[in-house]
Amino acid sequence: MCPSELCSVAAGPRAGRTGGTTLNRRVIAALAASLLLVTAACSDDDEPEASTSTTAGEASTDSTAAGESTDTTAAADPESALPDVITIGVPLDTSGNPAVAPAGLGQLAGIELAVQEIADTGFLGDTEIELETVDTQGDTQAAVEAVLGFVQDEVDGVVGFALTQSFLAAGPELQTAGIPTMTGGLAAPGVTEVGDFVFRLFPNIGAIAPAADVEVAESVGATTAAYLTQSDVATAAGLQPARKAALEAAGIETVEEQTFASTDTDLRAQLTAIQDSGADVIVASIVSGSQTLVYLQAQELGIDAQIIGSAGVTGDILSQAGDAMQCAVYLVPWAPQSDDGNNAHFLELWGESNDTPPNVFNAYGYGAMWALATAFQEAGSVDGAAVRDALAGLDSVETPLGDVNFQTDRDAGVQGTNIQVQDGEEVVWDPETECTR
Amino acid sequence: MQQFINGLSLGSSCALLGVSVALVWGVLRVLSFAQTQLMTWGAFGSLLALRWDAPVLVAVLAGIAVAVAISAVIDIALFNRLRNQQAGEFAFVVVTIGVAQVLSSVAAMRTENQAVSFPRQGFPVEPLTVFGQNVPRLSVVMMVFTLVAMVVLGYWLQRTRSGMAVRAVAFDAETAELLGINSRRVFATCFMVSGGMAAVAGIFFAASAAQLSHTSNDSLLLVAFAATVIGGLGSIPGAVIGGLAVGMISVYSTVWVSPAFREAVAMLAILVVLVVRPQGILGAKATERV
Amino acid sequence: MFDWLDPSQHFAVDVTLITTLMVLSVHLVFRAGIFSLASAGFAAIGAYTTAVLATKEGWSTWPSILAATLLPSVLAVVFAVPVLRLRGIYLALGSIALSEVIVILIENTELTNKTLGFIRIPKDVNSNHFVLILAVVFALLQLHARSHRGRAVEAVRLDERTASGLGIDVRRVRTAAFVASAALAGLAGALEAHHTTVIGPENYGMNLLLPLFTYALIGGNNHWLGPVLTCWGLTALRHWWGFDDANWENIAYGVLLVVVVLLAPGGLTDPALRRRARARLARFRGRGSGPIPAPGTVEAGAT
Repeated sequence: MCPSELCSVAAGPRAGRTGGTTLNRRVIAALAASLLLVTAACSDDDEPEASTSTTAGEASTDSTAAGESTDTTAAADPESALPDVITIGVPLDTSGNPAVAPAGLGQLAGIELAVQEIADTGFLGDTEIELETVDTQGDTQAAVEAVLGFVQDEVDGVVGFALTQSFLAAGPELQTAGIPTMTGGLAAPGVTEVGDFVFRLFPNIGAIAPAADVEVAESVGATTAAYLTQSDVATAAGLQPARKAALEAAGIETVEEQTFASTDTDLRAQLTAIQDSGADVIVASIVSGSQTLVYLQAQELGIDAQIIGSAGVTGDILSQAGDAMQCAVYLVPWAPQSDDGNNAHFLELWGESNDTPPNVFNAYGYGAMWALATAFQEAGSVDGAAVRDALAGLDSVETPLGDVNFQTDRDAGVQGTNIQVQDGEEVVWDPETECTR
Repeated sequence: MQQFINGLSLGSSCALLGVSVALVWGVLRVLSFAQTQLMTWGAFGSLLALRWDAPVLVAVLAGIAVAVAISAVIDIALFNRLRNQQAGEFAFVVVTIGVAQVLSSVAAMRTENQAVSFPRQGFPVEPLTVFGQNVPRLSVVMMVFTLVAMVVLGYWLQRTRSGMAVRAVAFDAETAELLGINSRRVFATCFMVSGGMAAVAGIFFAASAAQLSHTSNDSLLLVAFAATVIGGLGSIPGAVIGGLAVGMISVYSTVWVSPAFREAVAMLAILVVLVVRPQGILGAKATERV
Repeated sequence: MFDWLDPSQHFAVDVTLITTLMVLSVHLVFRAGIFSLASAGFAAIGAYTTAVLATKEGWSTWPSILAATLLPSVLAVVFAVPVLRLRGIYLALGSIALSEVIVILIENTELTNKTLGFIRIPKDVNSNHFVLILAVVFALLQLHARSHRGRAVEAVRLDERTASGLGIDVRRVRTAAFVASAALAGLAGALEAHHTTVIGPENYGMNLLLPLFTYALIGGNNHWLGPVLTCWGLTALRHWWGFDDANWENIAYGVLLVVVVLLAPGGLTDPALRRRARARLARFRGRGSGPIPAPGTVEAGAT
């Protein structure tokens, strides 16, 4: 008959996820949940282990981090028409270009963690999420092929993409097919403009970094700035003009601009030119692959101006660069030290199955998957349009990057945190604290 | 002045690589596209040794050993067969391209397509200050190594019997064979020596960047070719000069022209030299026997 | 035309059709004995020409593709003067340098959006166009190969000096091959730009050439059908086998390249290969020593 876990009505709050709903919703939820309980328990005897089904389901609709949804039609109906299996296409670059592979692999790990947690907590009731993962190898055409495959297989949603170029080629296909897409790690502008089925969790760094730069520059009393840009990476190259504009608007004069390519291993020419310019701050728009190089060679040349860098610093980079990074400041969309959103919960969960701390890509994957899952739950169905509306209408969803919503152009309004490296550790930057080199 | 030092510094790395390519070209008449992968594998070899807490010198030797072993395999298993078939020069080049591809992919698989950090401790990396100019110690070491290598090579080639054998084979392998010289051994030796040099260059680059991936050195292939072309394909001192020239051109075009066009300038230099003076600065004019 | 296929298979077929044009571009120069690796650069010129004309200047698709085929051809005539003066490995190096310079210039010019590339290029091309274009190209190639001009090209590859002594204008033959190769590469680049709708300078590096190399070498220089069939065959094999790891695929290509060069330096359509195979087979069957060609006469490595 009824396996005991399925029939117990003990409602306990899931660890870390809190939130309230109105009494009305509670009542409806309870009624619907019991209805679901009865139908589900009596039809399926071989439940998958992870599902504590509708009890958790009831708890989840109570404590859903989605909070109040302004979407009236589908969301208020937890009588889910969710199928047994939701297929999610996951196109990620996990091979090919060593500069991108970590992003792909990291997102995948985060997504898988989220899927596991969703299954364990029964957030979507009896529904299981199945991932269709494709390695897009850093190649635009492979990405398009993967997406066409997803469309063919009629996946219910897509989470992924690590390269903007690949996404821009493949995205239109998803839009045309009406598949809700949550992109986790694309930083360049123009992503959500592909269509209304496209959402993004990653902030448009070009929109938030410049203000942070000005803050830092002013705190050290800078009047001149030099720019070092990794010109062959879209995110870095696209970022620099915005940073320059903001600093110049704040009255900080540009005295030198230098660029380099990802394949360069010797930046001494550029760094010497920057050093000779005598700039007070050096604004470095670079990506992970070149971080160590820039800091180490700057130190070798004896450069001691304040460096305002870029996100993408991993533990490896910190240990390799050592004291070359002392006092460098950079804006990160996600910081392990942050308490925003459900970051603490994420860190704890990650720590249970991993020896090394999570990185920003893990956080993205995890957050993106949860956001999409929340939309499924809100919509109560896998109908593309309904999920899209649910996602667009969410008031806020908890992610490791903070409580976000997608109401502004379907871009999550992540503000990011300024981080400073002190004695080999990343700490939240504080303008009041002096840092000695 | 600092930029001049920067140019020399960059140039010294290019020079070592150039010598490696020049040696292979001069003796084996093969333009080896695999040299940069030999660099990478040499660096990986020493990385492994460093991870096992080997002292730096041992690690460098380990890296050299790896590259030498791979070179030996390439020459004996592959090049020899091509020589038996009297294959044209492109067959050799294509083989090196294929081998480079395989080496690169295997390295990618072993590192999961990601870059790994290369520990700098133990390497001479503290900066030197000479007359107020910052001189990277690592580059000084590399430059010294390159010059020493050049001198040793020169001595070997000019003053020893085995070196004479190498020169004879480089001049005309068939005739050398007729004179009783074991050309196979000469080829293998030269390729292995050049592999070893590539490994040293690779280790230095990795230590300088503190990082290594299966594609780290790929862009250096054309730089190496540029160095040998400018200096004269087949001339070892020419390759050193060519390497330094490439380094200088790179640095100064960053400063004077624009950082953006720096790579283009090196490529244009190749084109110009090839068209105007294909034998480079020190190379002998290539004559073909009809 | 291929609508009965799955969308992703259809896409793969389209990509293969375009790749065939690139293979032919490489074949054309190899056939004339020119070891040029500049096709990548010409493909880039073609792709960017059409991208700029179609998105920035508002040209309609087909005129812009036409322009994208003509511009590389014209540039090839200009580049041919210095580049074709070189021979052998010097030519290879020069062509690589040329290709890289083109890409670097693209990366640094505002007109071509520097490193950002182009997006939303109008997708006005489909399989029917590709098949039609290929059919025309095949026909032209076949006619050319059968004519005295085709034989002249062969002669130039096999022995330039003798060909010249026989009255063949070697320089014209080589220039024509170089220009035709550039035209095909430009056309392929342009079609791909309209097909994928997104291009960037990173698409035109030397990695583009490795598979093309493999097809051209395995297929041999004797007939254009060789590389084409090799391309189709290996691509089909790749899709059906479905390597999980891109690296294994690359290893396979590298090994294949080495093996083919060792065993069949003239490619699989090399007549000398058949002779050797027959001879070996004859020996194996115990028919005594059949005609085994002397080492020097094998058309070795004539790329």
